Amino acid sequence: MTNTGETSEGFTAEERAAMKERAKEVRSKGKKNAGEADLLAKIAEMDDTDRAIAERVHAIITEVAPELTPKTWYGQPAYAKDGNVVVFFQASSKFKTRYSTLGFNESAALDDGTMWPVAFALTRLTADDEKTIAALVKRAIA
Amino acid sequence: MTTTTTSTTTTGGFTDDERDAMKERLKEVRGKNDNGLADLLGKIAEMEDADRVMAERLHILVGDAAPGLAPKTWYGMPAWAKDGKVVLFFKPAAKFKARYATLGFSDSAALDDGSMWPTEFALMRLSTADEERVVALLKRATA
Repeated sequence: MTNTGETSEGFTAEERAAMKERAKEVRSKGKKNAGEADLLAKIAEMDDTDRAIAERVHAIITEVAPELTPKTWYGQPAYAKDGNVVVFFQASSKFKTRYSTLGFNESAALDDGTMWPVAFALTRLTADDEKTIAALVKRAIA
Repeated sequence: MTTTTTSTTTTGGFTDDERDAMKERLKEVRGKNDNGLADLLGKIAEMEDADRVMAERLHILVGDAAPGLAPKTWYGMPAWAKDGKVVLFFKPAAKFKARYATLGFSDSAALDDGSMWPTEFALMRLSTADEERVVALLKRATA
């Protein structure tokens, strides 16, 4: 008998948890309007630093991109267009990283030449960062 | 009456690409070995042309600008690590059928700049200017 919290040779506990959450999300697809409730519940579960950032990010995205649909993706807040995740937030506690991440998927129109940033580390949100995020999200859905 | 589904069918869950990446990761963790460079070169050789050209250049740039990093594979992707921790990785466009490849840095990379900084970059190809940018990132990441 192995302890459930232990990592046997293979994925880390955090990786396993993310996979389980993703599997649950895909299976429960179709239950409409659960998206934003799920997202808010996930934010509420976060520790203080992550939650403060996630709440602001949620406020910014719903303001500048009301057409995006809030949902969860691998157990994290995400915002989708036509079912495709455009932008997502990954709490620092998710994979025990030293910062949270705001990531954009390929359905985001951030293209700029041959190389452009698609994910950003966030340690907190300054007023400047909030403007940067609002501008990125607007460009992403332009 | 039972019908057997074909192995390529995605049942309501992960995509085939996601399953493949997970399997590759398990293989990597279970088969700990010292063949990081061979694994990485093997993965690069398997790539489609556009991805392969970028990965080959990136491998050279890392060797020049961040020689302290050790080549390995991570979820079947080329990656470069310090003290066993992945510092950066290259995700070929074909891996998850994306329209661009991705150069990603982990939190072991010292790219910190204020409270918000880029950690992943889309790559359509590597121009000379992009190469200079990548080299600067590599140097900062491992400073």
